Amino acid sequence: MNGAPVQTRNSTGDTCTMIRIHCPFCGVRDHSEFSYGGDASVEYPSLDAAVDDWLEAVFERENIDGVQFETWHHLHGCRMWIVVERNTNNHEIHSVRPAHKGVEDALEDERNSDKKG
Amino acid sequence: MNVRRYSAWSVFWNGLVEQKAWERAWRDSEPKSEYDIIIVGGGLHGLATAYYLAKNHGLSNVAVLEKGWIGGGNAGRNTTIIRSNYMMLDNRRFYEHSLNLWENLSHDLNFNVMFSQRSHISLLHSPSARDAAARRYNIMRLMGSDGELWDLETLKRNVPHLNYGPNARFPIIGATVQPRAGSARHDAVAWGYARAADQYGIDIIQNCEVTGLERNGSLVTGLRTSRGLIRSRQVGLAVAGNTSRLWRMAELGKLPIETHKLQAFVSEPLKPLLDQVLAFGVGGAHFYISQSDKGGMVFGGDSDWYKSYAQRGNLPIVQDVAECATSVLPCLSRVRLLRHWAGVMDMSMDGAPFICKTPIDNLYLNAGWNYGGFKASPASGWFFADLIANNRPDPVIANFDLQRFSRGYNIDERGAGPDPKLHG
Repeated sequence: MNGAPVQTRNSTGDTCTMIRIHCPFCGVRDHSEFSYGGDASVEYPSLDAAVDDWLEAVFERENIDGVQFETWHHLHGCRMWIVVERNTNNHEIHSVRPAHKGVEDALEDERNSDKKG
Repeated sequence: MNVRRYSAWSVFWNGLVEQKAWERAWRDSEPKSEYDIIIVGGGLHGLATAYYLAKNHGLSNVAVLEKGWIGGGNAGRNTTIIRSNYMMLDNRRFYEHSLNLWENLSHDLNFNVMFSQRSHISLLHSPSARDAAARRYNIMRLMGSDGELWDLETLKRNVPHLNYGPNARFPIIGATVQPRAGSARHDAVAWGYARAADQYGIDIIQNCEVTGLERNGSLVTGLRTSRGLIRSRQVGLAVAGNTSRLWRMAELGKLPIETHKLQAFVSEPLKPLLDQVLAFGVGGAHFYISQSDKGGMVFGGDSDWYKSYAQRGNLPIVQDVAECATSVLPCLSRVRLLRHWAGVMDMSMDGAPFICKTPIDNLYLNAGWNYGGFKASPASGWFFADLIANNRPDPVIANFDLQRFSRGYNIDERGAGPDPKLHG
């Protein structure tokens, strides 16, 4: 379980959702520590790609209602970028990983060496 | 005498007959099998479009489909601020037209929308902000609108109870003011447009959710709905917040829109406290407030900073807005919140809307209203109706199309760049 909406109730009895994000480096933190990047499925084309490719990457969005991958920045924490798999309808978080593959691999190596040690 | 028309006489007459001569304001229609035009979305924009289709273009074989009830979406989830303090040409013309329509809307609809031109005050906190604001308001004046630059003394005389203390984090040095700006009653706008459209014979169909589009080659022929198939010659989408969902049903690919969520708040009713609409924005803070006719302080701030389709706000923004409120108006610190709500908005890539044709020749799009949908609704309906009736955009909305980014034409009033969450 990498993080989940925490259900609380406000004064009128309605449920309200507080998101907590499990930062791979810092642990579970309130989402107010994080800034939102955007759709993580967007891949920027090469600098010499056609204008239309850049147009699509910069301006066009799937705008998924459901589970999407998105980038977040742990701005008020470790300042690392992470990729969060989140449902945009109910804010449920399914997975979190470092945004940079190299960092993710390094974390994995460290975990493995911990197990061995 | 037209018995359905509201007038001093109808009030007097109903007083004599124990208020029993009033009729329904509008019919709760059953869907017919076919219409000339269907507008999807019974919000302010959809209802206004239907009304102007009938009034300006004589087209009344029209249905408005609403998945819930009218007035239940973003029509009831906003802070009812009306202003036209935009600088860029396309926005300038469009929002000025909207403000002009607001000024006569109650008479036009024969329904009191309680439009109150109480002025809109934007606080200033630094000389550079004052220079930028002076430029903006001078452009407004040069194009025939109204705007004033107030020094601190004038502001204190008009709004004496702001935090002018020396310890304020952002001391106030003055304000820009649009005197013709103000506020209106959101429910009255929805019901006024619904009633006026209904009187032209337009069907307003509630609890009717669109589930799919029927296509025949390059044309849309009808809509599959929760109340059956309804055929139509032309279809207009006015479903801001959910535009991408319908766009996917039409299999049209991506849009320069993300759905974000904006919260608003109303306090317990107070005696008259604030005569104007007040806006505060500096150093990352963003806050706007007015007082409703019932006395509640109606206010809001930033959006929930990440994409969301949930009509439910988060708590850090509640805290953020409350901090803004008490820093500008310390007298509010012990006022209790009565209600609080969140609406989902189409945030576009440059903060400007879309009223345009689509790749399907008889499907039209009205979307991307960002923070500004309420004040825009009369002009939005006006120009969307014109677009559908004449199958071409009026020059005023020519740049509110989906292709403007490929032309390198951004209508980015804030200069925030192509990031939807920044166009608050």
